[in-house]
Amino acid sequence: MSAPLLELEHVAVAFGAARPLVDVNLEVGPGELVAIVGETGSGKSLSCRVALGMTERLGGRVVSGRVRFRGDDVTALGERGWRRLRGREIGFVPQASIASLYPLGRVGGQLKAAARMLDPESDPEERALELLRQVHLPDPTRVMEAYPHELSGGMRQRVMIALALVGRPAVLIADEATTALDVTVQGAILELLRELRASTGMSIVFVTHDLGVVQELCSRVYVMYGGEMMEVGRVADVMSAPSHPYTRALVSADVRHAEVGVPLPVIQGMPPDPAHRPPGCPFAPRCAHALTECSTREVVLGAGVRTVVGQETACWRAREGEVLL
Amino acid sequence: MSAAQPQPLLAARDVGVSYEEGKWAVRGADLEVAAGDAVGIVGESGSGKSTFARTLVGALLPSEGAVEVQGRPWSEVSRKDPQRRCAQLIFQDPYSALNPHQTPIQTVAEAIRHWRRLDRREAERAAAELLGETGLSGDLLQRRPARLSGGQCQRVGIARALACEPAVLIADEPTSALDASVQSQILNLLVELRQRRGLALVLISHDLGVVRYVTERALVMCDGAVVEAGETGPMFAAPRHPYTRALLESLPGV
Repeated sequence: MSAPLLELEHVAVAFGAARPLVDVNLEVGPGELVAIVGETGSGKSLSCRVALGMTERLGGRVVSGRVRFRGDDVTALGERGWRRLRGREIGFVPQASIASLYPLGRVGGQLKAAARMLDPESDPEERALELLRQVHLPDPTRVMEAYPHELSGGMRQRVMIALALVGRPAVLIADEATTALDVTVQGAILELLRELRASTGMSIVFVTHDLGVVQELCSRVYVMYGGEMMEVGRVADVMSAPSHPYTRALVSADVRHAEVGVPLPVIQGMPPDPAHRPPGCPFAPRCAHALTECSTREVVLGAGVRTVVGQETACWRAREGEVLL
Repeated sequence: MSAAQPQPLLAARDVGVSYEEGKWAVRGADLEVAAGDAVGIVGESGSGKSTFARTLVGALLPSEGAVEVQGRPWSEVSRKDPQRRCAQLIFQDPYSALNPHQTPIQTVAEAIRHWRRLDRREAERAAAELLGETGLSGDLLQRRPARLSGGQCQRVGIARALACEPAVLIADEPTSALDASVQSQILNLLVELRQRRGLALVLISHDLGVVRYVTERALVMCDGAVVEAGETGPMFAAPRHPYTRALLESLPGV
């Protein structure tokens, strides 16, 4: 892989006494389609905010680790510095909800304001229309005049993607960008993201809880749990041969591949509370394969645990190369 | 199906719902639900599936056609009529479906006392038993919804529905707001309740994977109309209607 554009190295974030992120690693190469998959509270959305330099704005603090963009350490970059990156180098698409767009402004006005700020060379009106065409909204002149509530969920999601593209970012971070959409609409948005990546060469970080979408869109996947990366590898490998017990449990809980009449496998217990984290691996209390050292010794990605097919895994058992059933 | 059953629990015949003159949210929908059935209603936003579900529990009277509950149209069943209890609804958003100021015990006990003359303590004992059946116990029973997880709230919603001793549970997207690992727990619970209590299930979902796993028959709705109906397995294996086919094809990762 050529030099990564965006990197998070062992990032830990604290909000007061709570530690929602403990060890987050992410490497995004040019033009790469990378997924972060995890369940509610795993820290995937917060990891996006860290990559957008928004930790302090949210009241948190990066307490250890590094954030790099194009090789430069931007961990301690101030708000002014981040303003040169955010929206310009790193674009952001939030979840498709009515609350993600300003409700009282017409779509055209919002796009033009963003164009004036992020792409001052361009004619705002022209740029807005061009972006609406780029995201395949039918009748862009009419959409310019529309208020967000007059558009369907799928159309609003396209508008939000257009907004993220104003500054021609090198990396697009999409946080649950298709979650609230119907399956047919979701399929169309995924197709649009694939196409935009091909035409612009930008990288995409796709954050989701949906393993199916990951398989559809991405080439590499990071699996998050309890504020840490549990596993990273090629999507096909991680899905067919998950090496971390958590990934394995997640994949087998997937109802789409379940045998009718056989109870679905479940993961007992609850995810860790960020204010009272257990020592060692955050999944150990729920893990069927846990050893004594799992709940005493911290294990993180990059500690040299690597499986045969090349996944990196934060699990002592995977290190031993045992086959877990 | 229900051919041998003399009288279905629920029978929707030619149901139409119109909120606005000349526009139909649902039109021409038919469905029979017999004891122990598991029926899926599939469709996307705006397909009319939730509206149809509301007519099935009698929360909404159709503008056209009728839904009969054990042979009587919902329009003749008063609020206090025991027949009201026959069909109960489980909601999509488990948090907003619960009173934020009530603990699980209070929520379920209130539903019990609506139908049975029990004093508060007896009702709370019965409530604890029902909550136990849905997988909640200990100090969770005394927490407000804000301190419960989404899956735990959904269990409270299911226990509250069971408090009415229904014959049919109608679950409207019961796991859409939940994580995959929690979804599997709730689906297991619904399947178990069906087996243990002989409950009929009507599962409304946009998720074909969930419908395939839980139900034996299914309807596919599009723009207010039922476009295809049949046994779930064969229908998903060989869909006849182009819309069913499109839904199946857009299922990611399969």
